[in-house]
This record gives sequence, C-alpha cells and structure tokens, in this order.
Amino acid sequence: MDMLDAHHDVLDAHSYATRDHPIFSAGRSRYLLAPSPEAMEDESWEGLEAFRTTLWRQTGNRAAGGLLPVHGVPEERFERLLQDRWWRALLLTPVYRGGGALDDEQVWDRLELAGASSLPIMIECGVEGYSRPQQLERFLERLNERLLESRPPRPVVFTHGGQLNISGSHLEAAAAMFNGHPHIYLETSGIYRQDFLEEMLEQLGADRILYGSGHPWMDERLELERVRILPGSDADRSAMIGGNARRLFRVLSMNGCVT
Amino acid sequence: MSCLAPSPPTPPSPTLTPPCPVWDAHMHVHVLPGHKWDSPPERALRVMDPVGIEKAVIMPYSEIDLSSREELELGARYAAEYPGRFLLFARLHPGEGSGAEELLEWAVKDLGYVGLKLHPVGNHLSPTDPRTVNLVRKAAQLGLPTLFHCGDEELTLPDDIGPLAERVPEAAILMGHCGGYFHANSALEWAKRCPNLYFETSAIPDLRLLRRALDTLGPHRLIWGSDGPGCLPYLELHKMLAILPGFERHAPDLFRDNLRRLLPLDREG
Repeated sequence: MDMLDAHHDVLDAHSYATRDHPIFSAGRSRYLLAPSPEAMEDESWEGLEAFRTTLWRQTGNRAAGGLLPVHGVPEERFERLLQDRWWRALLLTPVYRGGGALDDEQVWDRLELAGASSLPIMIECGVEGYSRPQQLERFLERLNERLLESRPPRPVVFTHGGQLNISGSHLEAAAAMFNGHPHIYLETSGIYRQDFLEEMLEQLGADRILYGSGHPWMDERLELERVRILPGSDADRSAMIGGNARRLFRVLSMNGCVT
Repeated sequence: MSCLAPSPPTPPSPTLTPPCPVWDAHMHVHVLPGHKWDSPPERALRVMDPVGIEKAVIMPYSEIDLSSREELELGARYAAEYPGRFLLFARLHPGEGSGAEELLEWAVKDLGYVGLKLHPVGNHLSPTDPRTVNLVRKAAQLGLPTLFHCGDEELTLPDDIGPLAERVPEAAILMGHCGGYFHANSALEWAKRCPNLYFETSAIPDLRLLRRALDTLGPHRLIWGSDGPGCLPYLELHKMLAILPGFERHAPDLFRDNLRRLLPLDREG
C-alpha cells in the first residue's frame, strides 16, 4: 500500500469480505466489511456466523466492524445478530439471496427493530430496478415519514456517489438528493467523473464524504487515489479517508481515541 | 444535460510521467457556457499536459446537427488552434437518408476528421438500425474507426453493439467504457467473437476485467482512453500503469499504437 496508507488512519467504509480482500494482505488500512455473497449462500448460516470470528482471528482489528445485510437473513438470525455490537451499519443491497426491494415491508420492520434503529443505513446505489435515484427518493420520503418523531435524522450512506451510470444521466438527480438531505453521506467508490466528486466536495463539504473501496467490484488502490487527489487540506483528506467513517460508525482510531 | 449551475473551477491535475507517448482515444471538447460540463479545448489541455498526453481524440457531448456544418467546422478550428494536439471524431446522428454519410465524408475530406463517434443514448437509435449500420459502413469505407458509447443503458449494451460488429466486419468498432459497470463480461464475450471489436478502457473501475481482457484478447485489442476532462486522465493512466501489473510492458500499444493503427493518418503516412 502507498504512503497514504502508511501515514493516515484509513478506514474503508464499504467492501465485501471475499477471499481476495486486501485485508488479507500487508497494509495498515482498516475496513468495515459486509459478508461475502458466498458466506450468505450457506443455507446453514454458519458462513455468516463464522464471518466475524474468522476475520477477527485472521486480521485483528483491521476488521473494524461489520455491515449487516438487511435482506437475505432469516428473521430470528437477524435479531440475534443485532445483539452483537460489532455491526456498525445496516446494509441494503440486492447482492444477496432474497435481495428484495428498498420499500419491502420486511426492510422497514427490520430498520425499526430495537438494536437496529441506532445504526446508520448504507444503501448499495446505482442498481437498475433497486436503487436508482427514483427508488432512493421514495426510500428517503418514507424514511422521513417514519422518523418525523425522531431527531436528529438517522444517517444514511449512499454508496458510489448515489449512482452508477457511465453516461452521467443520473449525476444531476444524485447531486439533488445529497443537497436536499443533510443526513445523507456520500461514499466514493466507482464514481463516474472526478469532477462530480469535486463538485460534491465543494457543495457538501469534506465532512459528508466517506472513502470506500467497493471491493470486489472496484479496486482499493484506484479508489483511494480518487480521494487522495481531491483538493483540500490534509485535515479534509484525513476526514474523508477515515475520520468521518470513524465518527459515523463509532470506530476507534488506530491509537484508540474517539474521533 | 440540463444542469446549468456552474461547476467549481477545475483543480490542477496531479502529474505523471508515462513510459511512452500517449494518445487519448476519448476526450470531450464542447463549449457549454454556464453548464457543469463546459469543456473548452483549454480545459482538455489542462488535464492532458500534466500527464504527458501528446494528442487526444476529441468529440462533443451531444450529436451534431445534421442541418449545419458549423459544429464540425468548430472542431476543426480547435484542432487548428492547437496544432498536433487534437484528433477529430464526428459525433453524428445517423439521421434519415444519406445526410449523415455525406456530412461524414465532407468532414473527413475537407476538415481532417479521422473517426466517427456514436452514442445511442443521444441518438435513440439501435446500433443495428439500418441508418446506423449504413453510417458505420460508410465510416469503414472511409477508413475510419467508430467509437461507440458502450455502457449499461438500453441501446448501448454489448448485446446491442456486438451484432453490429458481426454485420459490418470491415468496421473497426471501439466499445467505449467496455460495457460500463454491469456489462463488461458481455463486452468481453462479444470481443472474443468479433475481431473488429476493441476495448476502450475509460472510466471502468473493475480492474479485474481489464486484466482478463488483456489476457484474453491480447495487447492489440485494448485502447486507452480517459473520457476526460470530467474523468481525469491522471486517474485513468494511474489505474493502468501503477496498479495493473504487466500493463506497462504493453504501454506503446495500449497508449498510442493500437489507436494510431486504426486511424487514416498512419495509412497515408
């Protein structure tokens, strides 16, 4: 890993714990990890149960916390997993078996369970029929309706800058969502057009930008470079590559301090 | 493109010294005052120079109006203003009748255009629509490659572009973005079937796919492009040179020669 990894407290906010995950190679970066799709395919759910302990044993505290899938986990299992405070966010993604939709009743029931309601929500964005801006807007409206009584609003992380579209068709809608909802955070992996990321940094400020690698579909080294070269101060960069995620997901810094 | 808020000024690009001369196969130059994507030629040069790009293929962000030759002439003016820096691809709407074909021929012979750019999201025509087929065939007759936007939207999928490549085997077709975020594997399958399909590597973040493409297709079917200036040439070069092992060994082909071989300039010496 490069100088950035060596001199900063890097926390990757978004990746899946596949066998070739960079956590298993040399480096100091830490990661918030979702179970690999393979672990979720195990009907006995032992893969998911083993996920955390295996990671911990092999990587120590470089596995800084987990992203708990909301879809695809049986009800009882989900509630049991919630007891474990290692999970730092709820992950909404169609990657897993039974991926469902963002507005499934099951999703809303689970988001409001005791133990879940204090966790930030992360949404895998840009997937046709699942999390394009139209569906994300509907999700935010509903979240707003449900949470009228709860303030401050619950943090939501949109991965990939809220869209994945290589002709840029959804950039404007994504920008409007970020600008219209101050509790939404932007995760940076795979973003189309660096000038969109620069624009979002200018408009939202560094505090709402979270570095993520998007592994395995994206590459940690490219994604870290995408953030490293953004304009701004060293403090901004430190916030984007780790500080913001540590604060949002309640992860201690490398030296054990609370950010 | 209806976003009219001005963008912040482009920050300076990081620098990088490439191991060989670099030609960028995909750069946009389009003056759009007040628009976020406003890209005058100077903006392109601001991201080309720090990473040693000699020349870039340039095209606008939208289809050129077939009823007017002014937009094509504008491209030629940019090329004349910065001699040796820009190679011109005509972004045309295949249109009705033979208007686009005649315009393309005029642009090549009178203005020095060296390629065709087609974006089915912009022109709303299937790559296998007879109007598109005829225009791509015409480009091939003129000795020009065609750069297609090849992403995740209807009409731009590898499954849309592959059949065109089969139907016009004499045409060199570059799949810009190699199938985008979700269809890169399909692009690779089509490229295996059709030797006239090339991978243009801009903006795709799945580097495993580029690795597989190099291993499967060999070094002569990949062509480096940036989709700048919005996508930063620095990052696009960084991903090929600093991250992907083995790509530097093929740098002259990937970064210039594969593209150059497809352009009419070399064949005319």
